[in-house]
Amino acid sequence: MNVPLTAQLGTSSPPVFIGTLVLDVSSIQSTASWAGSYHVLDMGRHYQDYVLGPSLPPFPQLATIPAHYPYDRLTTKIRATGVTGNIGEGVAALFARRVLGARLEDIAHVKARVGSQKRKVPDCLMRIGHLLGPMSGLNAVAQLSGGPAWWPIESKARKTDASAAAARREAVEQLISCWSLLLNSEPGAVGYGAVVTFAYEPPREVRVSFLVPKNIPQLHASVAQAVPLLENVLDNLYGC
Amino acid sequence: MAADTDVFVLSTYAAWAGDDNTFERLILELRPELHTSAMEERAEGATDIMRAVGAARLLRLRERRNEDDGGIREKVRRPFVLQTEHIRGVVWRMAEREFVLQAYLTDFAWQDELFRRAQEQLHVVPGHVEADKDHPQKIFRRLGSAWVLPGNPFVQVSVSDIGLIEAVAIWTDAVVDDRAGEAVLLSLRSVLLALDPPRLAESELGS
Repeated sequence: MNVPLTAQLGTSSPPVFIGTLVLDVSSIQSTASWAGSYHVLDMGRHYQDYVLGPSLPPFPQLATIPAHYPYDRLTTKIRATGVTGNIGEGVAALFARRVLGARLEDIAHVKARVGSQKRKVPDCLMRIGHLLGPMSGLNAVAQLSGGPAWWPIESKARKTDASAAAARREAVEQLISCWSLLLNSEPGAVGYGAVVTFAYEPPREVRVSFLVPKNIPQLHASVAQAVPLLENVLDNLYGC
Repeated sequence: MAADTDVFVLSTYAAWAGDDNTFERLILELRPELHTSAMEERAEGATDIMRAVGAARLLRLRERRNEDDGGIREKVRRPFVLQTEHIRGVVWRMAEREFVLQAYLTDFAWQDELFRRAQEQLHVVPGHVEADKDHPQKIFRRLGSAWVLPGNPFVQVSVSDIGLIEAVAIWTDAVVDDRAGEAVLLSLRSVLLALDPPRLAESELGS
């Protein structure tokens, strides 16, 4: 399956077409199994049913629910969020490898250190700071190339473009949590990150949103808040 | 940081393959203070170590998988490690006729060579790539490769974009007897030899 790949600066600027990502079963199988946080035995078969197949298994419609109940019958099985999460993380790894040319040792999955478990954590760190040439269509090469070596990456797989857009905001919140941890130890990394979203129902799209700081002092001040306000942070990032 | 990260990423590869000895060794290399802790404490306390708990669970699951073998082929009752100069892998028995080799690069400097050799194998299965009339020059295809080894056992091999090697061997004779384990190991060994020819040593995991 070919999926259009786009990239944008921030989460609101117009996305730029980068190319087409081939996401067949063999691409996803062991990549998502390794890259995914959830333990799923056969990612290839799940991917086949969840993304490539025409529909999920239906429930038999045997009984009628009385009209006064505020429910409808579930018509089909639903996708497990852990599995779709793994697919998203696999797609992010494939993007880094194929498009940016990241090497195997440039992709590291992370979780919070002791004492920081309550913080939201990005899916992984990718050493892509020096690999952003293919993103030159974003007209922000100068900003992108000024970033740190290791970028926090958050990935989301969602059904539709609309839900992927909402997921991008959630993802930024996760990255804000990461930046607040780095504010004192590595302030130069604050504001840099990428969000990879995969809208897996037609019209499909893989979109990479690069986050780059615009007003660094104000960004640091908003990230330093005990509970950073998303809008305040977004105001100080390019394209948000 | 780079060297540590390499060890860290390598440990995730070992965990993926279920290569518990290597996984433990690499983790202890990164965090020597964990050496005296019990596994459960280690998993609980070492939350910065990627999927320590997940890996432990994975290993337990795989142990169960191999316990049910019934002693049919002594040599493959326990997982087998196959190793070449740049690749290390573990052979698992998934069902009576089905065996899986999960292998990974142990030397990241050799990664380009792995992908080059993978593309050169016979019986390569072409990836399914749809034509893109609008942007034919901008298709990001898989970096890895997949191929088959016809015969008994029938073996299906794939090298993923992230350098993980998976080979599924199916014993196709009607009778599954003592020849199966030996023949399967031989075939799976040949997969690694084709990718990384010079030398091969093997030992039972844990020995």
